[in-house]
Amino acid sequence: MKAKNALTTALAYIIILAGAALFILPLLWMITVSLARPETIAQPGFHLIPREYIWENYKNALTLMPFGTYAMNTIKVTFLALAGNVITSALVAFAFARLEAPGKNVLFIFVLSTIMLPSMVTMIPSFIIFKSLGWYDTLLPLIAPAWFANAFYIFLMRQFFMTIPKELEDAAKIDGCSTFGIFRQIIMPLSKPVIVSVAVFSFVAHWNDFMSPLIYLNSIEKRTLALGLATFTDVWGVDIVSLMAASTAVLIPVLIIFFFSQKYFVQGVVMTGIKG
Amino acid sequence: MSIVFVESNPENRYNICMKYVKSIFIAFIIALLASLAASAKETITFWYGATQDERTAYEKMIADFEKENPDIHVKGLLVPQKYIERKLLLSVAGGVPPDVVRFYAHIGGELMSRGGIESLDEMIKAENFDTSDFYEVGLKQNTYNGKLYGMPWILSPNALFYNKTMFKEAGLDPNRPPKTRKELEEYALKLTKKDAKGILTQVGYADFLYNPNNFMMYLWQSGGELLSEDGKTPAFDSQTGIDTFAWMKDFIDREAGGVKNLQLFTANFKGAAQDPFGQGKLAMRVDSPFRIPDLKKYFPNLNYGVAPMPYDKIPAAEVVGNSLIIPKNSKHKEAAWRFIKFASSAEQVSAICKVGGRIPARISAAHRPEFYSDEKLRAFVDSIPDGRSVPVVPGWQEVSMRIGSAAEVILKGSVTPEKGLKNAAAMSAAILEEANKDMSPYPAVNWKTAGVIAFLILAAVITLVTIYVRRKTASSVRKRKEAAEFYTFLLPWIIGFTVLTFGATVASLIISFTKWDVISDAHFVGFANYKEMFTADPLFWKSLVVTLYYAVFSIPLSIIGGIAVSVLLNQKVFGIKLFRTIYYLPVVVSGVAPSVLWLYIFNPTTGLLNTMLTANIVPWFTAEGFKFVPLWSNPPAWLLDPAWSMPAFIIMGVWGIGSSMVVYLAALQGIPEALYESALIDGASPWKRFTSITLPLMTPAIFYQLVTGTMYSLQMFTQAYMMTNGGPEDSTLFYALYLFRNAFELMKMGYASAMAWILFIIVLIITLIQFKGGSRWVYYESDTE
Repeated sequence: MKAKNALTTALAYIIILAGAALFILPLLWMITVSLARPETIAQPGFHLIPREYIWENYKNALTLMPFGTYAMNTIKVTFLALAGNVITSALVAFAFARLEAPGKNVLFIFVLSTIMLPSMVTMIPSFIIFKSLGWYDTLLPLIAPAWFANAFYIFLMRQFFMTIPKELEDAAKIDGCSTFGIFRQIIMPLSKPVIVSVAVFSFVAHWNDFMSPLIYLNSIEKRTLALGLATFTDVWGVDIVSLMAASTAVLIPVLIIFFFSQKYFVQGVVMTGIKG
Repeated sequence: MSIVFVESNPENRYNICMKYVKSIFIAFIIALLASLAASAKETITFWYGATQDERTAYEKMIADFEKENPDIHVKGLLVPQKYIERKLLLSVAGGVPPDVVRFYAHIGGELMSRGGIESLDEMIKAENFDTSDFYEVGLKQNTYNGKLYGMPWILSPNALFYNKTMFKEAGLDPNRPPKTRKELEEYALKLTKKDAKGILTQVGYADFLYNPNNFMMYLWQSGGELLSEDGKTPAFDSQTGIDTFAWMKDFIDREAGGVKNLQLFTANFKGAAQDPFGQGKLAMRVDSPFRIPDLKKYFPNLNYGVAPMPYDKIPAAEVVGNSLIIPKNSKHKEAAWRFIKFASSAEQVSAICKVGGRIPARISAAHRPEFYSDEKLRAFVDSIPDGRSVPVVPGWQEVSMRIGSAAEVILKGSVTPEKGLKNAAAMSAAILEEANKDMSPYPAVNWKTAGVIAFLILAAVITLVTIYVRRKTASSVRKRKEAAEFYTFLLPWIIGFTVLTFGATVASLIISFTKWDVISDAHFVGFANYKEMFTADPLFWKSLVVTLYYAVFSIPLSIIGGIAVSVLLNQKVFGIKLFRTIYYLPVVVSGVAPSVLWLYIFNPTTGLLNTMLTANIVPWFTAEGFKFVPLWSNPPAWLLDPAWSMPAFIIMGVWGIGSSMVVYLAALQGIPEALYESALIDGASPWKRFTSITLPLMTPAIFYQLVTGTMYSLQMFTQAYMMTNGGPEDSTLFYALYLFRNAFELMKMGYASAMAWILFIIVLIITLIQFKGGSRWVYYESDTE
C-alpha cells in the first residue's frame, strides 16, 4: 500500500513538473530578454535560459518612468478596490445564497446580465457619467465601481456560501444571532478560500488594468504602473529589453502576493468550523 | 486646575484664539491670491505619442514655449500611440477634449471629415499665416472640403532601403539602386536564395506583405486612383488597379514561389531588434526614415543606402504624416493655436524630427543641413514633392480594410485580381454611400428626454417590485423581515446599478437604434443596424462563427484542464505553493509581453512549438528497425494559416487555466476530509472517491466556471487584438474584435451597439439554459434539508 502511494505521488510529481515547465515559459522568457543586450536579441535563434546578466537594464527601465509615483498610485487603487470588491460582493452574495425573498432568482439572473453586455459600447456613456460626477482625472473611476459589488465575484461567492450546511446557521439563530451576525461570524470565517480567491482576482485585475487609467486619467502624476508599461509599447521602436525588465519588475509583487495568499488554501477549513 | 487656568487668563485665551483666526485668515487670503495668479495662467493640454527617446525632445519644446509665453502653461501627456484615437474619441464625446493633439493624419481624415476637429482656417486668415512653406502632400492630408483641419508637422515618406553588401555579393553595383520596376524585379530575383528544401533563406524584396496597402503606391505610380475625385465612389478596381495586382502577384510567385513562402520567411523576424533587413536576410524594402535610428541602434555595422522608389510612369510613394490638431470644443483655442505655431516653427520641428528620425513638414526645415546633408535623409526629402497620401473622406478606414482583405486573397491566388477588386469595390461603394448619407431627415436623439424617461421607468419598476414583494410577504412577518434584510444586503449593488450601470446600459440600447459616429449627433434609424447585421454583413456572421468555434472548444478544455490541475496541485507535497504560483503565472502576465512570446512560440519554422513537434523524440519501430521519429513531421503554420489560427488560440486559452485552478482549489478546501476517510474504510478506489465525493462537491464551482467561462469566451478580445487583429483572412475575427473595430475604428457606434445587444441576447439565452440544466446536476450542501 505504502509503495503504491509513493509511486502515485512520484507520478503526480512528474506530471506537475512537466506542466510547470510549460507554464513558467513566459517568466523565463521575460527574464532572459530583460537581462540581454539589445544586440543579442537581434541575433537569429533564441534562448530561454539567460546567457548574460545585464542588470543595468533594470536600472534603465525603472528610471524611464516615475516608478515610485506610479507604484504608489497602483497600490492605492489595487487595495482600495480589493477591499470594496470583497466586502460589497460578499454582502450581496450572502443575500443571494442564504436569504429568501420574492423575486430573488429573477434578480440574480438580472445581476449576472449586467456583465453580458460588452463593455465597449457602454464605455462612452460610462465616461460621461463619471465625468458628470466630477471624477475625470481622479483615481475614483478606478476604485469606486468596486464598492458597488461585482457580478462575477457575487456569483463566485454565492456558489461557495451555498455549500455551507444550513444547520450551523440554524444553531446560531437559536442562540439569538442576527442575520448580519451570521454573515460575519459564520459565513465569512468559513469561506476564507473563496474570499482569498476573489481578493486575488480583484488584485490582479486592478494591478494589470490599463484601459481605465488610460481613459480616465489626464495627468502624468496620477498614472499607474500598467499604463506606464503600455506607454513603452509604442508602435514604433518598441524597446523590448526595457519593456521586459519593467514588466518583470511589475509582475514580481503579484507573484509574491499570490504565493502568500495560499496560506488560506488549506483543506478542511469548513470542517474545522463544523467541529467548533 | 485647568478651569482655574482658563478663568484666570480669559483674555490671554481670547488673544491666542484671535491670533489663530488671523493667521488662518491671512493664509486663506494668500491661497486665494495664489490661485488667482495661477488661474491667470491659461493651461492647455497637449497629448502626444512618442518613443522614450523623443520624449525628452518634447519636454524641451514645451519648456521653451512656456519660457516664451509666460501666460500659458502646457500640460504634456504622453499617450500610447495605439490608444490615442480611442482616448480622444471618449474625451471629445465626454466634453473634456485636450487642446492640442499630435495625430496620425491618415486616421485623422475620418475625424476631420466628421467634424471632430476644429478648422484652422479662421486663425490662419486672421493672422495671414503663411502656409506656403509646407509640403503640398502635408497640407492635402489635413484638408477636407477645402478647409484645413490640422497643421502638417512631421512627415514619414517611403523610400527604398537597400543593402549594399548584399548587392556586392550578388554581383550588383552597390551604388546603383534599381530605378524602374523592371530593374526592381531583376534585382529581387538575383538577391533571392533558397535552400535545398526550397525554403527561402534570403529574399530580395518582400514588401507586399509587410503592408498590403503598398498596393496604393504601385497604383499611383501607374496613374490609377483609389477613389473618384469627389471621394464618394471607389476607383481602385479600374483596369490599372487590376493590372497592378496582377503584376504584384506575378512578382511574388516568380520571386518566392507563392505568397505562403514569403509569409513563412517574414514570420521569422519580429520587432525592430530582429528586422530581417538589419540581419542581412532581406536585400530591399520600402520603409520610412524612422527605421534609421532603429537600424543604427541594433545593427550599427550595416552597410545600406536609401533611394527613391523605383517607378515607370509616375514617381509616387506614400507619405504618412503627423499633424497637430485642435479637437472639437477645445476651451483654449487661441492658446492652442499659439502652441501649434510655435511647435511648427522650423527650429522646433527640426529638433523633434532629429531625434525620432523623421522629416519636418515645413520645407525650409526639411532642407536644413541636419536633414538634407545626410545622404540617406536627402533621398526621403527629395521624394516628398512627388509623394501621395490616402484620401481624406468619411468611410476611408473601412474601405482600406476591404482593400487589405482583397489583397490577402488575391495575392494568395484564391480569386483573380479582377474578381477580388470588383468585389471589394462593390462593398466600398456601399460603405462610402452610407458614410456620406445626409442624416438630417432622421430625428436626432434628445438625450435629456431620453434620460428622464429612462429614470421614470426605473422608478416605476422599483415601485412595482416593492409592491410585489410586500404582497408576496404579506402573510408572514418573518418572511417580510427576511425580504427586507435581503434587499438591504443588496443595497451596494442596487445603488451601483442605479447610479453607474443603468444609465450607460440604457444609453447603449438607444444608440443601437441610431447611426452615431461619436462626434456628431446620433440620429434614429429604427432597426436599420439590426437589419444590416442579419442581411448585409457577411463579417457579422463570420465573426459569430469564429467566436462560437472558439467557445465550443475552449470552455470544456478549460473546465476539464482546470479540474485536473487543481486536483494535482491539491496534494501536500514539497514546493506545492511554488508550483501553484507557476501555474497561475500566465494569468498574471499582461500587456504586450504574452503576445510577443506567443508569436515566438507559434512561429512556423523557428518557433518553440514546431521545433518540438519536428524533433526526433518518439521511439518507433520502422521497416529499418528501432528509431526516433518526430511527433509531427509537417506541422502547420499556426497563426499564418487560416485553418490553424483558431486551434492556436484555443491552445493559448488552455494556458490561462490558472484562474479556474484557483476557483477549484478553493472548492477542494471545503470538502471535509472525514468523507474521504470513511470512503477509504469502505474500500473505495481512488477513482471512485474522485467521482463520488470530489466531483459532486465541486459542482458549484464547476457551474460557476461554465457560466462565466461562456461569457468570457464569447467576449474574447485582447489576445486577438494584440496578435492577429482578426487575420489571416478573418479567421480570428472574434465577435468582440469586430464590434470594437466598428465602435472605435470605423466610428459606427450605432452598429457596434446593435451588435453588443445581439451578443447580450445570445449570452442571456445560453445562461438561462445553463441555469435550467444546472439545477439538475449542481449539488449545494445547504439545499439538503
